[in-house]
Formats: sequence, C-alpha cells, structure tokens
Amino acid sequence: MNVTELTAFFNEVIKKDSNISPAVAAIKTLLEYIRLQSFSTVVELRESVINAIDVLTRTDSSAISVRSGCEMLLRFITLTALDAGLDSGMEKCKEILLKNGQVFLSKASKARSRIARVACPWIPSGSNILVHSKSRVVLEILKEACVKNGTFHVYVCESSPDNSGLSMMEELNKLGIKVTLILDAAVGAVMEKVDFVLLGAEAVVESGGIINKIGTSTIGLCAKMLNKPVYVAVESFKFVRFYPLNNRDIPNEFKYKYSTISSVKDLENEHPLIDYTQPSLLTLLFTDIGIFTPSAVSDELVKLYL
Amino acid sequence: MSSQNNQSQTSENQTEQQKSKADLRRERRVKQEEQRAKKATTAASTMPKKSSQPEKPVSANLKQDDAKTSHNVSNESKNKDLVFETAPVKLKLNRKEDLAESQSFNTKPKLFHHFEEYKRDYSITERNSLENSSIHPNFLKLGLQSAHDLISCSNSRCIGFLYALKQFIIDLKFPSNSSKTLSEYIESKLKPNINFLTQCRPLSVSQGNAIKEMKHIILHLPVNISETEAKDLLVEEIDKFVEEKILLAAETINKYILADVNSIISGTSYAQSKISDNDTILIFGYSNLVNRILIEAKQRFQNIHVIVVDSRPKYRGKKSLEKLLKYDIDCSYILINGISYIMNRVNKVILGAHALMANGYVMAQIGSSQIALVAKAFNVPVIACCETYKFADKVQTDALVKNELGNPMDLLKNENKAMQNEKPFLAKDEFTSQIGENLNLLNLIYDVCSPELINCLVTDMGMLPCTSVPVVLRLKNRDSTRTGLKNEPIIRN
Repeated sequence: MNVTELTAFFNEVIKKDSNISPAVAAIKTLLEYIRLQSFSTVVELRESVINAIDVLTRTDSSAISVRSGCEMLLRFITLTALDAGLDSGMEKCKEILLKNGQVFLSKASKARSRIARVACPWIPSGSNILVHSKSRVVLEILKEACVKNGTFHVYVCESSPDNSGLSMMEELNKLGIKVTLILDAAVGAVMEKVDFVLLGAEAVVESGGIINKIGTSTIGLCAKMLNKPVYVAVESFKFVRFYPLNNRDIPNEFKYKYSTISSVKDLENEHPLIDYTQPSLLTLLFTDIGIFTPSAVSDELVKLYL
Repeated sequence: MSSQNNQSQTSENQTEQQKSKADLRRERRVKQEEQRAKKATTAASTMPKKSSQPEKPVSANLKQDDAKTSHNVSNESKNKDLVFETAPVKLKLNRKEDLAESQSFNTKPKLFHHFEEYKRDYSITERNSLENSSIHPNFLKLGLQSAHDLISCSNSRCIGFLYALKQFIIDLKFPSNSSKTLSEYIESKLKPNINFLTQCRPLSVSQGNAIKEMKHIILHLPVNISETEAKDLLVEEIDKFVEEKILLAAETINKYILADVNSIISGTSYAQSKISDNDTILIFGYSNLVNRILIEAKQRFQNIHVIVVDSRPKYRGKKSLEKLLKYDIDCSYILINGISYIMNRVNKVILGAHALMANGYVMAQIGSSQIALVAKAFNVPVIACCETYKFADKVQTDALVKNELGNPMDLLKNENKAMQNEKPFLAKDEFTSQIGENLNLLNLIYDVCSPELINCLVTDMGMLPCTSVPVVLRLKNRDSTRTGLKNEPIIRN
C-alpha cells in the first residue's frame, strides 16, 4: 500500500459511513495496511505504521482525532509483541495484532451506545441544554435521553466556520427535540437560561482538559462564570498522552488543516479550528468506561501506558 | 537541659502575669544581664581550655571538614566583627555556648508550639573519643554538613545518605559469635547512625524514602547469605537506587519536558517541548533538576530568558544564577518582593519540589506557594518537577501542620553592608533582651502548594496533573510487590 492508496482507503472509509469517527477510520485503515503489507520484524512493523500514521494526519480530517486512535494502535503493537513472545514468528504476531484490532473496532463501535446509557440519568426532562458544533456522541445521548426521560430544550451553537451546528439542528429536529440555533456570539447571553452544557470532544488530554471545535473554550469560560456544569461526552479511545499547558502550547498541526499549514506562510492570520479547554472548566466526562472527573483521566492514561 | 530551662521560664511567666508588665520586664532584664555576664565569663574560660585540649583522632575526613569550616569562620568573623553577635557565623566558632544561647531566645509563637524546635545537636562529636562511638565517620560527616547547611538540596542529601550507607556497609564487621541474624545486626548498627542524622537535621522526605527502601532490602536479605555476598548485594542495590531513581529519573524528566523524540517514550511520540524559543521562564531559588533542564534547553533554543527569583534568608537563587550564567544563559535576578511586577512578562514558571504529598500537594522551598499563587493570578502556567522517589504517602494540606524550622536568628541577620558599619538596630543590647519576650521568630523551611496552582507535574513517569500522585504511588507499590527487589526499567518501548 503506497501513500495515495492509504489516503484513498481512509477517505473511502469516511465516505462510506458518515457516522464514523476519524479515529476509528484511521484504525481501520491501518489494520488494512498491516494486513496487506508483510514485515519481518516488530520494529519494522512499528516504524512503517508510524510512517502510515504520518500520512493519515496529512489528510484534512482532524489530526488530533486521527492521532489519538493511532496511538492506541501503536500501544497494541507493543503489547502484542510482548504477548506473542519472542520465539513465535512474525506471522503469528501479525495475526494476534489483527485480531486485537478487530476486538478494538467492535468495542469502539459500541462505545457510543454505552456512553448514551451512562449519561442518560444526567439529562432530565424539561432541562435546557447548550450544545456546541456537531457531535455524534452528544446526538446519541440526546436521542436516548429523549426516549427514556422525556423531552427537553436544546440550544445549538452555530459554530462557525463550517456551521456544523446547522446539521446538528436538523438531526435534532428529526428526533422531535425542541431546538434553538444560536450565534456563537450569543453564548454569554444564552448561558443564564441554560441548565448545563453538553459537549463532545476530539481528544481528551492528560491534564483532563479537552481539545474540541473552536469556541468550546469560550463556552467553558462562560459556564464557569455562571456556575453551570459542563459535561463532556467522549469515547475512551480519544484519550491521548499529550499534556498542553494552555492554548499556546497546542502544536499547529492540530490547530490548522494540513492544507492550510502547507500553503500559508503566516499562520497568525488563519483561524484555528480547535481549541483547548482546561480541566478546571469541566465538571464531568461521560465515557464508555465510566463517568470521570477531569483529574481521573490521567489516572486512566497512566494505567494504560505504564 | 536548656530547653527544659526555657519551658520552666515560660511557665513562670504565665504565673507572674499578675505583676505589672514593667516590673516584669525590669526583672527579666536584670536576670538576663546576669546570665549573659555569666556566659561571657564561662565562654572566656572554656575557649582557651578547649583549644589546649588534645584532640583525639576522629577520622581524617571529619577533621578535614571541621578544619575547613573553622577556617572559613575565622575569616568571616574577622570581616564581620561588628555584625550581629548571635548570627550563626559565630555559632560555628564556638558551638556549645552558642547553641545554648540561640535556644534560650527560641521562644516559638503560641500557634507553632507543635514544631520541633530548631536544634542542631551534634554534641556527640564533641566527646573526647569517637573511637568507640557507634556512629560511622561518613555519617558524622554528612550530619555535620547538613547541620551547617553545606548540603541542602534534597537530592544531594539523599545521595549523601546513600553513599554514607554504602561505606558503612562496606566497613561493617559481622561478629562470628553473634546471636543476631545478619539483617538484624545491620539494622541495629544502622539505627544510631540514622538517629544522629535526624538530630543534626530532620530527615528530608527523599532521605526518608531511601531509608525505607534500603531497610526493606536489608530486612529481606536471603537467610543463608554470606557476609560478603550480602555486602555486595546491598552495595549494588544502593548504587542502583542512586543510578535509576535519582540520576536516570532526572534525565528522563529532562526528556519529557523537552520532548526528546529520539527516545520514543510510549504514547508520547508527538509530545511537544514545554520550553520553546523566546520563552521567558521564571525559576525560584535553587533546584538541581530545574537548572539542568534550563541548561539543556539552552543548547536547543538560542533565545531563552530566565528570571531567577530569590528570597531571604538563604539566597539560594544566587547559586542558580552562578550556574546558569556559566552556560551563557540570559538571566534576570529579582527578589520575591518584586514578583508581581515581573510576572506579566513570564511565559512559564518552573519549580523544583522537595516532595509530593499523596493528595497532590507540592512541598517545596518556602515561597514557592506564593510564586505559584501569583503565577495563577497572572494566568502563567506553573510546571513542577519532581522525581517519583520523592513522592510521600502522607497527606498534608498546609505548611503549618508539619514543617521544619530553620535557625530563627537567620531572620534577623542583616546583610546590608552599609548598615554593618554602625551597629545594626537588631544587634543592640536592649533589643536582644526583648527577644523571647515580645518577639517571636518563625523561620519555616518548606511550604506546601495546593494542586490547583500547579498546571503540570513532570516526573520520570511522564507529565501528570498533581492529582495523579496516588496512582503513581499505587503503581510503585504494585511494581515493588510484583518484582520483589528488582525494579522495573523506567523507559519502555
């Protein structure tokens, strides 16, 4: 599989299933890559996978999302090598890896419904909820909560520059949930009538903060000021071992599309697409492995990686 | 003896409170005047006696050390003849007398009676013979060094302890007709040494952890092990502790903070360096680890500006400054009083830590908490660096429950050269007589900083929020129980 094939396969996967998260699509692509390619050592496997990851992050899907999924797979490779033992052949190793990959994928596909089940009790009927951008997990939660607990009112941020709030509104309308589309600039004004904020995330970082669509940080700050709880719904494969101190500390390849970085010289005049929301602004994280406070995220990561 | 005296005096005070205050003060002044006169005469009489006394051989090391300090002191005292009489400079010159004097002034503020009194009890070293003493010369040396603040950094104190222990174990002779087992014997011999060390200066958390670990190893020595084998094993373990938990840990922390991608640490292959070009970094006092990080960062990024913040009475920051300037790093120097003026120009604050508490509180040199607080107010990220061997399994929420006291007289020391020509106010007789009556001196050594003020904690296990300390402790326990004596390698692919 060469570079173009890799990118083509990745884009194909995303096109086929519009609901798929870029992280899962990346893992699917990498597993396909590992299946087709032949390797003689684990180190070689690891290195070529790292190269493939680099290729995938150069597509225009959210780089941090792709990375978070890929890191998980790399971790799998290391563990598989340890599991398989030294004397078993490379073929055996590859087999175990692919099997683990499939297990991982099936888990990932069930993650959303699990989160919806976990988060449901936190969404009482009659509440006013502020959501930002389009998040499939949030949508799933609202769907389930609407059926189980009764209806509520959702305020959706328009979330420029891609106006993904619009499609979120349409989806919610289809479910028969009351929706109000608001301007990004109206967050402060709407916040006082909102009961809580429900967000998705592209990645959860080690500090317990989240990286998400631009504007999330603003919402977090407003909510903190007015003492509204902020809940984040996120799959556990989006946990990444990365520790930003503040927004300045987020690398450019996460903030901008790859095409922007490679074509524009002065990024100062470009709009970043994501921002970092610090853990002190978040109340709880709903994940498929349970409900966490932000500080518990790093505990999980330490357990996973050490 | 003197501390008892002290207590009885204070109780006397309380009963006499009915008397008019002026009366009381007059009485006390007379009493103290008498005491001082007495002391002066005894000091004068003991001084020559002491020097004429033939000194018994102690140990080459120790003698050298003593000679060095006394030499320094005599020089210093010549220069600062007129300086404050009770300053610790003199304390070194004539230990016994001065110790007593400093203690008689050492009335602690009412709220802080629970602190262990500032005491440097190395009286054992003044005994005529040390030949039959149970204290190993290396421990004597370390004890005196830490009592005189020649070794103050918590890392070097721990390394000093481990090397002393190593020599102690090498020199130990196991009697053939002893009823004790080897590990019991070593422990019984080690105990007075550690006690002596504690008397010289309360143990640091790092030393405490090292002692705990070493004792664990000593107690779990194989039963049928021979003396030489046991020694070899222990020496190896000590070397390993220093190598892995202290030196390698520092290196790993360096790698984490500068995101040294060449050494891929699992899951962080795209980590970003926490220090970048054109950064202005604020540091406080002296920390081995932080200095090392900055020196390494300088090699990578040309334009780094470091602001060294310092504070009375120890001025540890000067040591940092000296080291950083040697490596051609652009530095500013400021005292902690001016910190809010400089904070808006700072990108990052990097603090070294003395220890980490199980609830995520960071124990560091006094003043660190204040710096973190100001940084928080200015929205400047604070990074704390600490090796995991300094993690304590204790919980502490403020610096007042447990702390160490420094020499209270340090607070009154007057460094101002211009003022040294005239007798400083604080050194005047009428003032000293009031010490212990109306003046309370509280010289705390550490302070404890809440985890909300620290954005990021860099350890040899990666970057964590302070609240993850319990997980690290649990992991360490798991590792040590699973692998017995063997330690897990720190970096894994």
